[in-house]
Amino acid sequence: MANVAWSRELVTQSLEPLFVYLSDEGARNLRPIHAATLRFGWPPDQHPGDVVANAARRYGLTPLLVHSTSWRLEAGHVILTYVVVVRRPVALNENLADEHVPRTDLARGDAMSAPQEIGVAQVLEHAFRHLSWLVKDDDAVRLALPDWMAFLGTYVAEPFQAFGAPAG
Amino acid sequence: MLKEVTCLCGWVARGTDDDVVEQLTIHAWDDHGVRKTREEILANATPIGTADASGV
Repeated sequence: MANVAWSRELVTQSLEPLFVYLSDEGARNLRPIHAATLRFGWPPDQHPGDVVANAARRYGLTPLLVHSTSWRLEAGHVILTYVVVVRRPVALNENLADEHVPRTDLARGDAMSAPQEIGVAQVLEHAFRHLSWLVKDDDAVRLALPDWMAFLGTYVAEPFQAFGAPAG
Repeated sequence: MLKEVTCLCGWVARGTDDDVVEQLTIHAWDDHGVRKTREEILANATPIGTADASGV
């Protein structure tokens, strides 16, 4: 939460890392206790993947993989969202809340526009569907996430599901 | 120069150096019970643009 109004004159992009880890019950999202997501300015001289990985380390987390999953416009500014897969924490930083990641429908727009609203769970649903493909197609992702194979196997892309079941 | 500081808890302050120092000083004490120096706060500030006629 900010208590200073955002100015359209500020020329910046924001990064939004979503820290996730795999528990025995499924994926967990580690969000900051005073915001729905962690956001901060993207220093122009730094690679965003390095920035979000270092952000995880500030909480004592060990990043295993960073992946830019989506972007959106908000108040005229680009917010680039990363899923940051981290090792299961031994102790949780006091500034983080540990939450279950529910399954949900994807946020959908139309052919020429983005969805009106995108929730964090929907961003993670999208991210996990994409990772479910990458662990099969990309050696780097497969090697980084060996423990996630079975879990991500439940996120097989279902491109026609949004149209509903066949009639009759 | 306008700057932004994001607290580890997710709370964000934006504005001039004086603005973010004032906001973070209050936030750190009220919400976390800790005192931060101006130097500590500005060390974690990211430049995000230039001040403009809107007065932000």
